[in-house]
Amino acid sequence: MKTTTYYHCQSSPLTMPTVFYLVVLVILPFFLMGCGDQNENLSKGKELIKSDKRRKEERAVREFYLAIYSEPTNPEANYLLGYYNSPSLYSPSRRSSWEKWIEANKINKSFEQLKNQSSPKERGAVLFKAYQENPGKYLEIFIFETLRVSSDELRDSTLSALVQVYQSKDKSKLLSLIKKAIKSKDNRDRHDAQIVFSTIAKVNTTYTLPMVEELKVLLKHNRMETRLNAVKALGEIGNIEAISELVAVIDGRRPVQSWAQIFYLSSTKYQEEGEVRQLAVAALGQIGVEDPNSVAVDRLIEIVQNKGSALRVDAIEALGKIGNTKAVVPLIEILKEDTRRQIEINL
Amino acid sequence: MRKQFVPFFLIIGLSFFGCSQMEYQDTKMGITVHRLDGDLENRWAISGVAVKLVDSGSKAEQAGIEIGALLSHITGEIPLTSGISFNRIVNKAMKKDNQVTFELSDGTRIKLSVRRRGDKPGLTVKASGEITDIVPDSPAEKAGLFIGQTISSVIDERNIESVEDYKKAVKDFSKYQKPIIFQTTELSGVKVAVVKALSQLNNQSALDQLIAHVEENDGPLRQPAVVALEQLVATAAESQSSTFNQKIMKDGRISDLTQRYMQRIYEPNPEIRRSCLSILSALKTTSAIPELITVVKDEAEIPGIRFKAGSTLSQIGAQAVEPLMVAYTNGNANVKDIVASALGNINNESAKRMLFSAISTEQNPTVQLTLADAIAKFNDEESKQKLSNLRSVLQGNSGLQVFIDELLRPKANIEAELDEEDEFEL
Repeated sequence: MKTTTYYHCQSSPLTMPTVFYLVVLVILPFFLMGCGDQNENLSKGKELIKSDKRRKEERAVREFYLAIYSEPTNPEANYLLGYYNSPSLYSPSRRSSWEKWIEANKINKSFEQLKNQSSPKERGAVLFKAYQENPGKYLEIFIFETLRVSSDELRDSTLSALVQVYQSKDKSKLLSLIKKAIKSKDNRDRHDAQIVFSTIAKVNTTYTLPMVEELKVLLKHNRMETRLNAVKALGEIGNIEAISELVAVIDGRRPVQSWAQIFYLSSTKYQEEGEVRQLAVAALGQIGVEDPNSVAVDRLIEIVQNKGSALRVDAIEALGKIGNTKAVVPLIEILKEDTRRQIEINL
Repeated sequence: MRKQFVPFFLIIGLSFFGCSQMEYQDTKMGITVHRLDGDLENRWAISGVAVKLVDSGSKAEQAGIEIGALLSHITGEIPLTSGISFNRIVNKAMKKDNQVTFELSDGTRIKLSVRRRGDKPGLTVKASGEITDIVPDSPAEKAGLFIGQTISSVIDERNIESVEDYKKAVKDFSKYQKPIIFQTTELSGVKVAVVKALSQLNNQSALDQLIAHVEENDGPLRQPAVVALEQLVATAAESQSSTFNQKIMKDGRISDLTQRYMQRIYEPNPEIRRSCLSILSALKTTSAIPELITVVKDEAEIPGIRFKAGSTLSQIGAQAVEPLMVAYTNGNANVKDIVASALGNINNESAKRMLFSAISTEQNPTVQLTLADAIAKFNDEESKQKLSNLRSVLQGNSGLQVFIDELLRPKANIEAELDEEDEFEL
């Protein structure tokens, strides 16, 4: 019996010392990470942002600059500098204050150089640096948080960073996230994804078609709002490759689940939602503005000539914006149309 | 075995539920109609069917139905001699809109309506159509029907919402060999949208259309056409680099039209008069000066339009100074007020001299304020000195004194005050 008991004591993995060592081993890395010295300037900048002090953004930005000088690869310092470094901090009246700070901190840059760093392109580069240091964290933050901020400058900076992400090796990761966002229930996510799609497509002609193809697929998504944002994005891109798909949206029916198709047959009730069709007409108009000689103009004229279409006014407005004189005759024809009248037929 | 087919029939039955016919070829009338867009009714509050084809030589073609017409109502006449009971005819006619029209033997028509579906009209009619009883206080009595009158037929007007409605109405009404009346409708806003679009196309034919619509004495498109012309001229005035824009600026028809329709005696619509003044303002038509002065002086005109005429004169510039000065001398306080404001906006030496002279003699406090404001607009040392001198001779704390103080006060550099160095530790 004794031997058996001893054997049990020896072989059990859960003896007190073992448990202690295991706990220490698990906790120690976290403890060490937590104990690591956070950049002092970064902490100071973050405190300033949280405070209600005057010119807190300007003061915080200076701290973030200093944090990056001492630790260029700090992702958070880069992100926060890109986030807060607004051109409004560099008004002429603030020049002397900045110059004093540059001198006091022996910064190797002039006021003008710092001011230039507040442009969307430069801020985008700083945000991209944050992404490079911690891709897993910052890509999601850019798409689902930073783009939501109501500042146009920050939005442009974030879009600039996302374009750089697309140009880097992580293209597929970005695409998967923006597709997730455009399929989201949250309209802010869908709207932001729509802008990312159109921005990337317009940066470089080689990016246009891949984006248009992605959006064409999204036109068949079950969520009406997703189709709506995809239509808007195609309009913003203004590429002729989307014309036939947009015409199909205008003429066709909304996508339905395959199991439900049997109930829908030819019913007029299940036509694509009016709002989506209306935006598809506006998108054709935007394509026409980009290319006034494209077939988008012909398709719009066809809608204008269909008296039974609810989209005539939208198509007319689109033709006005395009300005192609091909529309003059069909439009003048409408002015000749009969107004309300009574027609008597004797049988 | 039969039970096994139940789900199948159920699915087939459900699949047809909600289906509506896309189009219908009406061989009797000789037309093919098709349904309107599903969302047309929601967006434009319109329903009906559109005519897709009209057969050559058909009754529809002879009557004047054209391809593309939107048929919204069909009206038929059902004679009481048709053999169908009076109550049945009336109930059918009132089914959708709770109203019916009777045609009496003398040819007069009386419309009767009930408050709720199912309410009785309150009359009894013999097979011959003679009214034998009227319920007191009933819809029939209220409509003006009385015992002894003879109803010859019931007029049934039906709202057409689908191809099925069309089919049924034509089938029901064509039995009686009486005329059928088709009511066409149009999408509200389509023509207004066209007028606006034409102003964006930079095209001579489009411009001619707009002018033609403005020249019409009456018509719903006159005002949209003037507004479109206003937009077109404003764009042309901003950028005269294109040949078309130069043509617009020199098109005598536009200035002739607007000179006429800016006047109350020719144009009752104040919005059209206002747009005409805007157009003249962009064209800077000097030949319009006498008419513009007339508008400024017109006491029956809306004050805003009179000021707009003054503003148009100031846009014309130096050539308007002399007529404005004459108008000031002969005008009442209202005219002086408008003219002083207009002269202040013309950077002209004669205008300045005239304003200097006027402010020294003017007694009306409102006109004095306008004159001071007009002088301040010159924003030169001489004008400031003039106001300063005037300020020094004014007695007490008059409104003019306070106003001149305000005009002469140098603009505080608030931005600089706000941006004073804020010391904080680096």
